[in-house]
Amino acid sequence: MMPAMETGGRRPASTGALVVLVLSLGVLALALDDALFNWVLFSDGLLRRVLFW
Amino acid sequence: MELFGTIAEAVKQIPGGGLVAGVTAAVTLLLAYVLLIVNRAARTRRTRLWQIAAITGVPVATTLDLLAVHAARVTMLSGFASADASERSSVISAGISGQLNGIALLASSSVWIWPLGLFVLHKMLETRRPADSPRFAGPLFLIPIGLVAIVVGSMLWATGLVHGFASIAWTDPETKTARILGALDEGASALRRFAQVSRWTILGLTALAVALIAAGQRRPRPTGEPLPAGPGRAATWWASALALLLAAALWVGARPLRAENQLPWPAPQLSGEVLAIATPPTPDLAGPDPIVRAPVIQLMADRLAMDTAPYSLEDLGGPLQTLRTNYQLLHPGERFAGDLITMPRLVSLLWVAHHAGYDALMFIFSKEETTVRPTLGTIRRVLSSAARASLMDASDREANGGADPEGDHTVLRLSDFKSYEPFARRLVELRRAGRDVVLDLGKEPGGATDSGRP
Repeated sequence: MMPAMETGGRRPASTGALVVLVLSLGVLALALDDALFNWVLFSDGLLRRVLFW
Repeated sequence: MELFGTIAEAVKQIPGGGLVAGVTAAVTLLLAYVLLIVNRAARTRRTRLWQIAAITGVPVATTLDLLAVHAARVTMLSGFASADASERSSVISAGISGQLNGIALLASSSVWIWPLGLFVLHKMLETRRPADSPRFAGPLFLIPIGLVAIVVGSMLWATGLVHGFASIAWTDPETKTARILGALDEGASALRRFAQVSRWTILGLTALAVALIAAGQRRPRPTGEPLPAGPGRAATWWASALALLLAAALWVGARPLRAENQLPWPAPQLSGEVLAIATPPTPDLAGPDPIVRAPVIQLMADRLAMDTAPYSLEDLGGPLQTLRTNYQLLHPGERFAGDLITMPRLVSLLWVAHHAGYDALMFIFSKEETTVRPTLGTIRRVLSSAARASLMDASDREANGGADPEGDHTVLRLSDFKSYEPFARRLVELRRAGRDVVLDLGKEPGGATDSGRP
């Protein structure tokens, strides 16, 4: 492990931490994909509601 | 110029559309300006402030658009609750336009403002990186590329429906519901495919980013070369926690929408006009005939209404004649079909209709249906169906030498039925078997009084 002094006083992230960050961003992107899909499709439901008379 | 006109018209349909479009345009210009100055004076405090302003502007523009679509949805839901039919249809129509155009604007603007915003953010992180350290941020920025498919899919969904609905507007009313349903089904399944493409692209790009970061960290270095500086350990953990927290919030926040989207809607009435009238109660039957647009007579225990306006039986003949004359003036040369909707029947009413030339009766059977939606709540509708019969009287038989009119039909005599229910049951049975039904009114009772028989 590189001493904190060599990186301007902060401890650099390990490869594992960086991988966790990438995976977390992947999970966030999947959640965004799901949320955007369901948010748009909600309008589809409202349009179907118009046919429900 | 025509394109600008179309865009301006679409923006007008979005609640607060001017503000949303204005902010989106301002953020775009800000991003462009930052990209111009960033290479010239990357490390100045002034540039950093411009960068922060431009990056912050991106979610602000998106949030405004999300709120505009939400406002259109609220408008649409208020339209469903409106008692006045014309107000209901104009409010619902405004809600539909607001949503579709709002989603189209959100998706199309996201295609450029988010990549530009992330590019500016990437530039900013790179500027903060010590000159002798390897790059670390690049692989992280691969992941958002996976969202391009769902953004493009959302844009195509909205614009496809705008065009689809516009082309349906002037089609035969009989097929309109089926066409709208077809357009919705097609749009939804395409959107589902785009979401799947996004999912797999995100997974692939995440795996690629992991591989690139691992490779960058494990690359053999000459003695003395520092390890990749990358972000600080604490910052990495905080960023990971924040990303997971945001993901969880999005997942939980989308739950009501997901539940609503996953529950299929009951089938709509595909053919004929929709008659959302449940009074008076009718026998529990389903007629096989489509309802066509025609005057609607409701016969309650204590009153009578035509097209929901109150009338007396004695006064009904005149307005029916007027409607017939108006129809013939509006459709010169066309045969008057004599369609009339009745709920349910009364011999004297049938005589009034017969005298006014309305011989094509639709006996309506309606029942209320309730469905409970996860987010939209309890929704009621009236399911109506019709069974057709044409009218004849004793004079028609006399003109035929005393015999029933010839042809492929069944003649029903009202005097053969003790009440409306068995008559309605028989009528539906015959219509379901594909038989035409002629209703014989017999001899007109003295004047316009009810015979007391069905």
